[in-house]
Amino acid sequence: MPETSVNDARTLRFERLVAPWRDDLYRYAFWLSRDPQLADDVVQEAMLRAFRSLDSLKEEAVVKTWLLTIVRREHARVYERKRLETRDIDELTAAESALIATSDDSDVEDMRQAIFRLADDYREPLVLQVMMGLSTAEIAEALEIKQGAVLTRLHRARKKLVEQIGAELGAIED
Amino acid sequence: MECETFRERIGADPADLDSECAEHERSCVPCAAYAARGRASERLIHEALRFDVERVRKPAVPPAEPVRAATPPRWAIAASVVAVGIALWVGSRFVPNDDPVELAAAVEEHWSHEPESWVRTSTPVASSVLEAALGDGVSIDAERLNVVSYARLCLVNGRWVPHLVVQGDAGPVMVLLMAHERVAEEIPLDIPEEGLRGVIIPVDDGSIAILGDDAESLESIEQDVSDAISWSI
Repeated sequence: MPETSVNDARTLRFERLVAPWRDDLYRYAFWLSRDPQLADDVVQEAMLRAFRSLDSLKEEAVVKTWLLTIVRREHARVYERKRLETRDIDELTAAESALIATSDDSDVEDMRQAIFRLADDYREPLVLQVMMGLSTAEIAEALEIKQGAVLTRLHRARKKLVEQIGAELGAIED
Repeated sequence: MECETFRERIGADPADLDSECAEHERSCVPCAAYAARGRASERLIHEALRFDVERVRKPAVPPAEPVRAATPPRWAIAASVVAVGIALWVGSRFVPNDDPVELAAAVEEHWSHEPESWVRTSTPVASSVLEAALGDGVSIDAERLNVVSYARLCLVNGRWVPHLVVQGDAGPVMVLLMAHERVAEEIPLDIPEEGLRGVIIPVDDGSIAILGDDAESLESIEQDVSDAISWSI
């Protein structure tokens, strides 16, 4: 097949399979980094890598986890390059949460603030489960940890969130 | 099942509770209340995570144009920008533009300011971003246009104008809705080194600038944009 036709076919497949995930991948990259610009860089690079290696994706049903892996690796690479630029966590939280204050619902905003403050180990599995719809087994595979550890992290993540937003879920009461 | 076990399970995966958990929830009032609160907070978590991507990537707040002189103190720059802005606004708001060459140059220069807008895509900009860019004075019937992929309020020739990118047959097309930029007749736009051409057309008391690929059928875009917008200024 001529090279142009191959590229056209790949472009069409990319549009069909990958492009619809772009916003969710951006959100995932954003919650990994808590930095809009870094998330943009990560997704741009990840999309480019996805396009180049699209022919290696044989099973289309796994496109979501395939893309998440690419974004995760790309984030690690970009973060590695920029890790010397450390920032104060409180400053980061205020700045970035103000940036994503896109809801009129103050409860949602409070929750967003609380998610910002979660440690990476808790935030990432939560994002993968709630936003990306991964099962705990898939999360365990993606994060290369045991499923039991995923369950513990998810439970603790939710517990910390409700503690932070003043709900009553943190402790067993009766 | 122990209450603590139930609560650990619902905390780990509220959407995947087995029959044993369901039975416990039915039989334990405090845990049932706990589960109800958990589901309510789950909705908040979901909404909090799924923020509006367009608003984060391209804030709707009017962006500053590049400021090239950097030596004066920031307050002086701010004061000068405000003063110049007010002077331009007051001085030129009701005066028909009598320097078409300058206007054309400002439009052509503006094209290069936002390279991130210049992409071919089938994804429309969020309606909230479009509305923010248009402001109160302009409304647009997006149904009459092909995909509007970019929207921002920009400073062009001393006035804030909505800058849109509409997807044409040959790629992206820049559209500037210049409600107060009156022109007597059509003004051609041409950036040959980039393979772009366009036109500023008079519309009501203002004008619309359209700039796209050489191969683009700008006439149909002109017609679509003219039909789609209405100004209330």
